[in-house]
Amino acid sequence: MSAPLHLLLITHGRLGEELLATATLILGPRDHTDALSNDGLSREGLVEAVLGRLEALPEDASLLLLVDAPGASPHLACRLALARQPLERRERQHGPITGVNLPLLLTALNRRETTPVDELLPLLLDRGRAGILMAD
Amino acid sequence: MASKAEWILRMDDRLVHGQVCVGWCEVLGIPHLVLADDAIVGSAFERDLYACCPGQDQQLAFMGLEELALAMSTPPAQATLAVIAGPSEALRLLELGAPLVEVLVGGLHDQPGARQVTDYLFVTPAQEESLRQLMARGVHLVGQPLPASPRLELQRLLG
Repeated sequence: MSAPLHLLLITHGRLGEELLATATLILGPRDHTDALSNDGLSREGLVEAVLGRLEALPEDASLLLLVDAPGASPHLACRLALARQPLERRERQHGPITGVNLPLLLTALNRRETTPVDELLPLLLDRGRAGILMAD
Repeated sequence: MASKAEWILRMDDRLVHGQVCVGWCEVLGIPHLVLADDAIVGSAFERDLYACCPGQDQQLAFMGLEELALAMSTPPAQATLAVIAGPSEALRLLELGAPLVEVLVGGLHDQPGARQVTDYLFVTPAQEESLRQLMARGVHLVGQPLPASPRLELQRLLG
């Protein structure tokens, strides 16, 4: 089993926290997950908060960043924070993937320990998109 | 619904983000956005970063404050929402000759030394001084994060 892939959700309001809580109801508790809200934070405040979470991880940790809406402040702050990371860390930081939803998150939690990251990322995009249907 | 061709100036330390593109421009049918910031206009990385923000029917332009002040001297061809980072940028626009009548204060977030005025408005002493200078020079400052939010008079809020 490879080293755990950490998941960090950066979202508006309590969305990330609640997605993780909901995933826990379905899958049970999982380690190496965290959520960060943009609530009340300026652009720089949110970038600093993201950097704080990134720097709190072990030096050799792999990380996948998940954000909600493309072009919104969590997405922008995430990209700005990643751009300020040292190259050696940046190589183990993946994403951000935008539009995080429950199917995508459940797949990430279930498959992150068994699927190499280069295969996991396209799989997550597929699962996230496949979760949006006109159900009849 | 398309808004009339006019400049709308917003002060927001998050600059262009979801509340601006979806909450304002999409709701009011504003097709043009300007992100006016002297640092960002000179950064290819930051221009690329913000280029993902506007919706399909929106166009985003990047300007320095001098360019925006000049642009605001004539009415835009279509409704245009220009976003600046804070009070000092608004004062700079005024000094550059921009005809500022009203500025919407959409978001100034908490930071060290700031006092809370509303849930989306925190001001440091320096920012408050700049806001007071703007009001003293006849600029109407309105606290309003979203179109449906109440329009709050900063003159009254700041006391």
